[in-house]
Amino acid sequence: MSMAHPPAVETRGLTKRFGARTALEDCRIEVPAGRVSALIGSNGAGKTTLLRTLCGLARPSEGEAAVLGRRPDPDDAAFLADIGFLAQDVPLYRRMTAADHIALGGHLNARWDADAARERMGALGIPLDRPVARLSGGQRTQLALALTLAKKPRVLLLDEPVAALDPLARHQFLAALSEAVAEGDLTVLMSSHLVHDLERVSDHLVLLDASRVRMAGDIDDILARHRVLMGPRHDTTAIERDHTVVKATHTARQSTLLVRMDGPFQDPRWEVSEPDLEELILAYMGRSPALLATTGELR
Amino acid sequence: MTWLVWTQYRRQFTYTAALVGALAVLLIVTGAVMSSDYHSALARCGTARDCGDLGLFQGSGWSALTTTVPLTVGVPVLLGVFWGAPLLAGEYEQGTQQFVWTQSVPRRRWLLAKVGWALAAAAVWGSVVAASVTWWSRTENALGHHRFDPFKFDVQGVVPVAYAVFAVALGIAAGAVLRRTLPALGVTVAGFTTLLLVLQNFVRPRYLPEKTANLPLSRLHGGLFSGSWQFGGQVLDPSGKVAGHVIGGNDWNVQQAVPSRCLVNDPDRVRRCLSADGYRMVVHYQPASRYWTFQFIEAGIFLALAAVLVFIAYRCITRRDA
Repeated sequence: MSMAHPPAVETRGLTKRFGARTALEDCRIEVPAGRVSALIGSNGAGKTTLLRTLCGLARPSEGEAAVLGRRPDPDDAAFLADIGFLAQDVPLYRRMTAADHIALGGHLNARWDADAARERMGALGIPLDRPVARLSGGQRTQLALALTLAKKPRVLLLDEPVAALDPLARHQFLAALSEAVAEGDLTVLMSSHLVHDLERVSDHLVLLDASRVRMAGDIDDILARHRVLMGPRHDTTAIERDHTVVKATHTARQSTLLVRMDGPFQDPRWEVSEPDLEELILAYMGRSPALLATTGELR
Repeated sequence: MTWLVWTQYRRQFTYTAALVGALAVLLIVTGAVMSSDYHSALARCGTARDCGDLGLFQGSGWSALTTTVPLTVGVPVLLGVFWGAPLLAGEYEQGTQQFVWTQSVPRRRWLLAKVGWALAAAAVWGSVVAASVTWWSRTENALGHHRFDPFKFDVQGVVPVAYAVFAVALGIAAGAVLRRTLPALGVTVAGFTTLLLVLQNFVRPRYLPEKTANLPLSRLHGGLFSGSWQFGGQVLDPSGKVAGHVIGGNDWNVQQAVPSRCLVNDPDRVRRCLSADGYRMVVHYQPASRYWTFQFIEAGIFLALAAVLVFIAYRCITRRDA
């Protein structure tokens, strides 16, 4: 990666504590510009804290964060203009209508595409003149996404945007998002506790587990780096000398290994196949923090 | 930003304007009627020597309003509860601070606009109510009821405006610290009431050093210190020793033997008789001329505290995580 294109989102040593509880510990993440990155982790892993830190709502306890090269600062209008944040539970003003919110965005943002937001609402059949309190959960999320996109952000930070949606609304939401990404210079970091939700639209992945980054990088690279080895039950010490066994399952006669390949591998006794992303992620969750799969190592 | 504040609060603004407006109209109309009744009664008293109607103003005709008007001391509390407490706590409760603080307006500017307009609105509502009450009270004030009475002092002049600004600032600060409307509301009611009672009872009498008068006992009468705030004092016997006490305004007692010829049935004659024997009184009071000084001192205290509260809210919003 050349210096001309700094990562859209970058954190180094990012740590966030709430009293005695550590929500994020020593997180290093780089999301290259133009990517759609899935921020995966179980509930309480630190996804929300990370996103809130990146959009300036929370301040890091240690370490630093940068979005498009700027430190997240709630009083920096230029920083704020470049980000779009969609909080969990999509908070909007309950008594205001979609039209009110669209007008409101126009007053709060120098760059604002009200027509695009109205068109999006029209295409989805969401009434503009009804108070938010009387819209369905899916309609609210679509409105919130439309408002976030109308801001024309360069980095979009979405916190569990599809969690509350039914399959159709989820499909519509992801379609709208893909369309926005295709249209222009936009980087997305969006969280979910399910890989499956985001796999279709993402090409980059950050896995948080128990406050730490467990895996971060290009999804294709990560997949290419791992192999599932299947064969008769063997002693695995030879493999462990050159590679890292992420997960081993043994039956009486057969062994299945998920291995991070740290070098070339030649052993005809093993049947080699590509792992499934979800399977790979589950294998990494709950393992020791020393075991990491990051873009840094892949380069 | 102004647009946001207006959109968010226009409904509340309309309700408040309607209530405050209705109260103002009621007070201005009844105040005008009462004032004209008073002036015609005064005129009859001067020309026809028929002063009976003047007495009405002490009592019956306007008693309903006379007991209601002092209740307007609650207006600042209501403003603090409905305008102050939810201003920031409501955003936290609905989570909308996350929406509005990630638009392109710096958080500080958002805060200053919102708080600025809320305090300005508080000052306007407070002024309208205070001005109507002060106008309504002209007749009572002209009749010499003493204006330092908390039921009058607290609802007339400039202090109600400062109370309103303070109560709203208290609600805002409590909301910024606690982030929940209901507890913030409790703090606003309790905080304002406590501060007002403490000031009324312990601090207000001492805004300026009290004056002392040494007069013959016969002069003890409401008229002497008309409009002043009397704290009582001592009754001195002819030798200058303390013989009893003057309590509040016109009540007094003597706790020693007095000449028997002065023991008659009419309190006025008792006073005159003892005066003739050399009984005097030493009374402490704040003169009526200090009324506006006291009003401005108290308003200043509340406004200064409001400034401190706004600063606390500012620190909370800019220093703490959203």
